[in-house]
Amino acid sequence: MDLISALRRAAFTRPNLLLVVAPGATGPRLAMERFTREHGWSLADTAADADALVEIGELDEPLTAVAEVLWRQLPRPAVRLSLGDEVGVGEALARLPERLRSWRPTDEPSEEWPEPPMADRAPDRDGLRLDVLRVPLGPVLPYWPAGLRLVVDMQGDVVQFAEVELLGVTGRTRPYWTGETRSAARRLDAAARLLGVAGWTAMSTRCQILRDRLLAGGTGTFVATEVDRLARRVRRSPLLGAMLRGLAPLPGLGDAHERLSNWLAEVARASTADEAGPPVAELLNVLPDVVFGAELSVVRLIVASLDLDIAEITEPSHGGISHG
Amino acid sequence: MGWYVPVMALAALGLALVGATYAIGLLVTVQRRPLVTPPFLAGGLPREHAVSRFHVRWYVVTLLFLAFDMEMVFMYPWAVVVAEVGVEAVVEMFTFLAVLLAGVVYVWREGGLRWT
Amino acid sequence: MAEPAPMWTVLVLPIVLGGLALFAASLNGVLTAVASGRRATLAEWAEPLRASARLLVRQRRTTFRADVVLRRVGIAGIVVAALLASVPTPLGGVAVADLPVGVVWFNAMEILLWALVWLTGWGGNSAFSLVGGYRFLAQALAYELPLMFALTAPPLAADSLRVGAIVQAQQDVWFALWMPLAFLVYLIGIVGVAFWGPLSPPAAADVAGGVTAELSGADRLVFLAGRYLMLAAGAAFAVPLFLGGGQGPLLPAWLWSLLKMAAVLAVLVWLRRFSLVRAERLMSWGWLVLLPVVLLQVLVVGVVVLLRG
Repeated sequence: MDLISALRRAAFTRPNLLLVVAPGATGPRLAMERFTREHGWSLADTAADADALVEIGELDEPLTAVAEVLWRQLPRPAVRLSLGDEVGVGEALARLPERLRSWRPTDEPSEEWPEPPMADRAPDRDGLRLDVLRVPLGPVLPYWPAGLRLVVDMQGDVVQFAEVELLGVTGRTRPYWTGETRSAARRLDAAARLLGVAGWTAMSTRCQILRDRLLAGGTGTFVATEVDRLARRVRRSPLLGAMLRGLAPLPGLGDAHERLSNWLAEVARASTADEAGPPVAELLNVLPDVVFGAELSVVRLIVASLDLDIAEITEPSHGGISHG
Repeated sequence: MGWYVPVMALAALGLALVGATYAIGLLVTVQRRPLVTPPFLAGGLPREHAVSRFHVRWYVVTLLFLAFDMEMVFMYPWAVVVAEVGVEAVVEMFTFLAVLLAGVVYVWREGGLRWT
Repeated sequence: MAEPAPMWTVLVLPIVLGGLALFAASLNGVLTAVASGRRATLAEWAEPLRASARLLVRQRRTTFRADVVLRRVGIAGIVVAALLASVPTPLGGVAVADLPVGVVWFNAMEILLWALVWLTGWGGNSAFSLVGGYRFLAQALAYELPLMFALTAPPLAADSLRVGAIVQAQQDVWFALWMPLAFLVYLIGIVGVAFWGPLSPPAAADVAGGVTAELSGADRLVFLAGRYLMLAAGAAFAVPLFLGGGQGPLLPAWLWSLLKMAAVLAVLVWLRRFSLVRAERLMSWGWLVLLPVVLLQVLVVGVVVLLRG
């Protein structure tokens, strides 16, 4: 029995976290990413691999519903916690392993779920009639913008229809990326996400480390040289080039590869304030058209390459924006 | 046939190892009853079952693959008789492969290797 | 070489292959730790053991209306396929069975993953794992033929499909030295079989872990262990095929085998530092670059065999 309790102790020294993030709650999200990175914890790709569901920021009703669905998908033992700001992050997470160890099974009734129908068919772009699946992308996916849900119709893994829904934007939502330092850090955050979706995790982590150093008031020149080196490696990588070149070219912004290069170049030059990109509402407007006919992996890359911050939507969206 | 005794023994051992892993899991887990849940959909619920006829846009390539795969049946025995049969074995096999490669070039020109 | 090896080899194989797989997982953990700015402490090397304990302790999980049988076959099958694939792989001079068609046997076992990975993806009744399963098949269409042709190059040069004979044929010079392209294509193929590094889209984060998206507890442990075992089996088979088996000075043959296997495996694990390859690009590269290149390699080997008389 001692062996079993030792095993259970060891099991939860490094829990995996699944984050539900409210738009604009970027501060605590970054604190969370930093803590997990420094302590060797991981962010889970899926509910099946998560020990804890962490709600970050103030969740409105739709986002609470999302958290509710996910909470019931986490295998046990599991812990649910919510964090309002970055101050309490370290403390709350440090207590997590002990909370998981002291978890005891309760007589939770087995859940009843509504039985969905089998997939129906719809015409595809080549004039065939094929099975179609409606799949929500977001709001909880690795490297995905907080508060965005892109509902897509897929035939195979080709997106035939997409619709934007916004979740979690309330009257109190404020964008986090304001001021010069944060604007530079934002570029690195966006680069980290895009590189993460592209599967270049080592480089993605490097961007996060430099981002956190910038935000912690690190000296600009050191970070700038580091970013410059990183930017060169990103630009020269043939694999990454093959993946991103030609994806979702937008007037004035270039394709996904150029956008990534530009973000890093801006940080390296330490001048990000000069031109703000198009407002997020405009990007969300064109998103359904841009992803039409694209493969799922490409849709993920396109969304990451647009650096969407839903918190910048000025008016709260009741019912969301919809596009056909 | 004596070869296949250790092979079968290893297969049985492999299955036993998998079984032992599940048995240990059953012993040390904090909750034996598996969780039954809808699939992970980024926080949403499924509108239909995911098992469906999947649109494989690379089906043209599967035909090309089959042609070559049949060729592989000849390739292995061929490999061990080249020294014996001599020049004509190499000439014949690579003439055959050249014909198949012409198929690859055709499919490529028709855009069969691209699909988005 | 003629008689079957003693039965204890059946017990040794899972230990050696399991050790190699654990080494791969540890190295992967340490690379992650270093990339995250942590130090490569002993705890980081032991991380796969702790992660295994975590999965054993956690609750298992199935999805609503999952195809339980197919899913089970897929998850458990990869471990068995990886073990069986290593049957003809000699450690030093001893293999579990030096089959007369050892190379074909490896090919047959490795190709089982087409079914097993897809079954795991399909069985979950989940859109993301379904996409992951089909991604594996799309990739396999691109790497499998080059891999199979690469596998024929050593038997062609050795005039035998028996792995023991292939090792003997490398007494003077390793095949990796005079058929480097076949060696390279073989390694790319193995990365594909184990859906590792640049070829890991079937289990990538962009589809919430793809084929692994719905796995937890012991299921996840067995599936991930199978993947590392397959990577190890592929790395191990490269040694008798291209790197002269247990040949080397001073050290005993089994130790040379083991060192070479670990070295090849380390190179494969290290490939995770590159970004992913898109399936469509892989399809073009596989058919238009890898396939012609490896056919040219086989032709060169064939001509050499003829000249040798």
